[in-house]
Amino acid sequence: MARNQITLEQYIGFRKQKQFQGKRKVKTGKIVAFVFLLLFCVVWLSPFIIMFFGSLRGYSDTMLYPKELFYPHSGYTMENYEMLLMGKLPEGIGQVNTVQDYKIGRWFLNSCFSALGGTGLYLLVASLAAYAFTFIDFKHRNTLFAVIVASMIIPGAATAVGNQSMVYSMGLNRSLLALIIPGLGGVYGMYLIKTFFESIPKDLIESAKMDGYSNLKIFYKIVLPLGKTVLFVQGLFGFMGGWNDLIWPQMLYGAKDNDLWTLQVGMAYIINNSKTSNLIGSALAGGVICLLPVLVMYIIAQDKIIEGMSSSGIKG
Amino acid sequence: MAHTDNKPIDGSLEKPVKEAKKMLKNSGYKITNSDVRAFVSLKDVNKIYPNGVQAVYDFNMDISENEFIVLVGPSGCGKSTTLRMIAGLEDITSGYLYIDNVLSNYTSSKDRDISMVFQNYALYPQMTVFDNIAFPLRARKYKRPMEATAIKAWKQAVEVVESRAEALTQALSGAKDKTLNYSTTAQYVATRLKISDGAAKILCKAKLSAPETIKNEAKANIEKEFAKIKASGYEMDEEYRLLKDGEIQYHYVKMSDEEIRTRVFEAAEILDLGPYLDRRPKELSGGQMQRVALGRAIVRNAKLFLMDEPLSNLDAKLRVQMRSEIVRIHEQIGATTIYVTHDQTEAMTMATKIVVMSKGWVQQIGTPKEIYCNPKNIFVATFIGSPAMNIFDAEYDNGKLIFKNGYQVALSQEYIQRHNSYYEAKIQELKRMLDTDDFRKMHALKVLDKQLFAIDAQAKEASLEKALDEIVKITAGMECGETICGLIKACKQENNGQVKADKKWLLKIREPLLSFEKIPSADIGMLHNAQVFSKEEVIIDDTLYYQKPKKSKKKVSTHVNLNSTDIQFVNNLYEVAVNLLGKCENALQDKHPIRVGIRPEDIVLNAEFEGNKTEKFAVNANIVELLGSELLVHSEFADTNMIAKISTNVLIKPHTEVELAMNKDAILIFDESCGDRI
Repeated sequence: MARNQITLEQYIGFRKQKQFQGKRKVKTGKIVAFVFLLLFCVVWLSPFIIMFFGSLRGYSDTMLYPKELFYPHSGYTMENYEMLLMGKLPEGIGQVNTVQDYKIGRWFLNSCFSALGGTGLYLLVASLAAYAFTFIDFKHRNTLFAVIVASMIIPGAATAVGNQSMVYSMGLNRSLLALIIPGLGGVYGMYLIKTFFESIPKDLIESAKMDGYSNLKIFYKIVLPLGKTVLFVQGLFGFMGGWNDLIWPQMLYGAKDNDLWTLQVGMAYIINNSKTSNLIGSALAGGVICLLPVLVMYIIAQDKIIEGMSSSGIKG
Repeated sequence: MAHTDNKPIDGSLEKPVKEAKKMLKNSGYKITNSDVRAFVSLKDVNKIYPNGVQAVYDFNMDISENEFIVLVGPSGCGKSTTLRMIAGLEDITSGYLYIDNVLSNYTSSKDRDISMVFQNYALYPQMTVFDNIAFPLRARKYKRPMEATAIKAWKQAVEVVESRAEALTQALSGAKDKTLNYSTTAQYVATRLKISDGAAKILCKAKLSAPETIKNEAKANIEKEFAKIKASGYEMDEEYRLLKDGEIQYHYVKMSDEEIRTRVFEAAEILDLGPYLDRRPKELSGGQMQRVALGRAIVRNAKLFLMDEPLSNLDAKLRVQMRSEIVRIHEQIGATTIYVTHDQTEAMTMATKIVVMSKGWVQQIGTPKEIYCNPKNIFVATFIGSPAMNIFDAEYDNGKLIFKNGYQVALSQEYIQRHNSYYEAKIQELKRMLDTDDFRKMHALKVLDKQLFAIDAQAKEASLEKALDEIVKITAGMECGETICGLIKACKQENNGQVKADKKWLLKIREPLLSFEKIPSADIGMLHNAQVFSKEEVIIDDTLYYQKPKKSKKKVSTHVNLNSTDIQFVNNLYEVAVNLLGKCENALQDKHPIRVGIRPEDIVLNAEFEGNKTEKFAVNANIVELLGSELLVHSEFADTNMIAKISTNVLIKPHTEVELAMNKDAILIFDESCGDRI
């Protein structure tokens, strides 16, 4: 073969390559899908964007110039945040209907305690229960588990009053522990963790048992490291649930002094307040403050959440 | 290795309940049996799963120390269940298990001092190979002499600084290059210089500071420690062990890192795992993972090794390699091993003793050679050996085997004698069995059930009296016979000397017949084989199966209550036994069908073989497979596929005629109806 010649076999490949190199065929279906997704993305994001920019406007700007969403009449200020965090009330705005002080810092700490503490304790209880249901053979195990799972159909609102009286009779009516304790009996997380534990080969546990490890040690040394992704996912769910919960803390402490409020209860109060005194901006700023920790948490843990969700078979 | 050193007590002692409770508690629930001599002993072990399936029937075996036992059988024959029962992962339904002379039915698996290799390796994916192997060592506390570790450390440190300064610099610089997951700098230095961890830590902390400062520090520290030891009333000997009143003091402690390291390194050396200690299981190949699993088993120096099909996940070549590896390790360590496999080659090559199982029954226990040359029945004969033994249907006529195509083999006098004595013994045994109470009851039941479930009412009335007479005759002399007699008498008095075909009344008669004593397991086993291995197509009832007692009283078939397990099982044992007896009696008088087995290597080329051979016969070689040194010739003989193994001296072409003959001494004959070797 001469130097500049190529075989027909090579030529065919060469032509094919050339065809596709220049212009790739764009499929209309993909464009439509992309446009749709973009549209929904905007629809879902816009409340957050409006909230964020609204919180940066002056006190009464929102009411006076409702159409100026992103370029406020008053210019960007931190007035709303100052009002919430430092208690600086606007001048010349007349009487503000505040019966209770805004104690954002205190509420934030309460929320943290409830969400983090509750999640931690719940993970401990639920994973131990899941371990027992998966790896220990005790009498009536399956019956017991069926009963527990069946209890999932009872809505939380139905048991709220009972929970409240129980917590009060335990003498926790002025304690933040009341936020955590009833949630420890939750079934969903335990069920989720159990399904994951079931995918751990039984050989591992049997082998460790033969080596002389106790159940607690097996749990700590083998099952926990292997199941950390699902624990992480459940932890995040628990955290979000605890952070966003309004009904339960409202029921417990809504009518009491606001040292015990969580951020959500406080938020509800601020929103209520802002309606009567035309201070929509403060409500929006409150929303941003509530959102921030969860957002930061999500961004940090994004990779692990996706990994955990795919490995434990949750969709959504 | 429990914390208490309780002495086990003799299990055969008879004591009142309260005292027994106390004694058991004092002995740590350890019981011995002076009759048990073997290292591991299984006595009548049965396993019935909660869903009513019986996996193991009356498993009896004695295993002495340093043996390599292989349980072999087709899948689902109960071999893995047996192993798991020995390991304590599965409850034993009935029977006794003695390990090292201690009754171990109820001890938990961790107290049995057993290590096990699983089929899927069961390695912990989150740990390195080092940690995986070290894992069993970290579980318990061990009895160790008390030591003055601090003094030891300082003295060793001084020794190194004084006399091995160069080695120390080398070790310290070497540690920098090592970024191993499982060891720190101090541990590296300790291993390299062969000193204790404490000493290495001191040296690492001091780095290369002047030896004088280290020495001074050591002096001060040693004095301080000495004072402490004296204050608490101990003394110290040259090996830094603590003494009290001249005796070495022991305590239970977790194994130290040093000891774990040396042990893991030893195991890694045996298994050639040195370079992989730092990796995680998913970075290893199958063979390496298998070796890690083995390492985890041997590192603990357990009394007993259990292996559950450890090689079945490996490819063929690796399997052969690991096979010899395991045998080598067994020879090196000498621990008693029980190995489960479905591969007969593995069983033949590795075992010192093979246990062949089928459908939950032990078929034969023996050395590989015994099992190969003297198989007990047709199952063992066909299962062991590759390619499998050829089995032909033939007819036995007065010392002659007549194959289906008319080919005849005259048997020697020895064979004929063995044949006759076999059948005579069998008849005697069956007669004895049929004469036991249980079988008589079953006979009576059969007669009664015929009446009970007959459809034709008129015929029923007519034959009822006769049947009842027969039942009375059969059950005469037994306890239930008297009750039945009483029942019939009472009924006759009521109905003017007549019996009525009333179903309720007949069921009443049936009741006393339903309680059985325990039938010996050997008898059930024989009848079981008679069903499973018989050539007969029509099996009257299902094969043996056990049922959990149901609350409803609707029972149609015969029920036998085994005392030991308190379960009922449904069967036609009586019919099988009678059937077998008839056939055996026939076999002694008349010509009768028989099965002939001959191993492929005992079918020889007529021209080449010069020994005691049968008449030559010609077959058409359908397929010829070349296995290197041998040829496998597939052909058809007497309507059966026949495989012959022939050395490659002669080249045989496919689809040509070959003249073959059988080695007359190697012919095995099997009973047609129960599969036993004659």
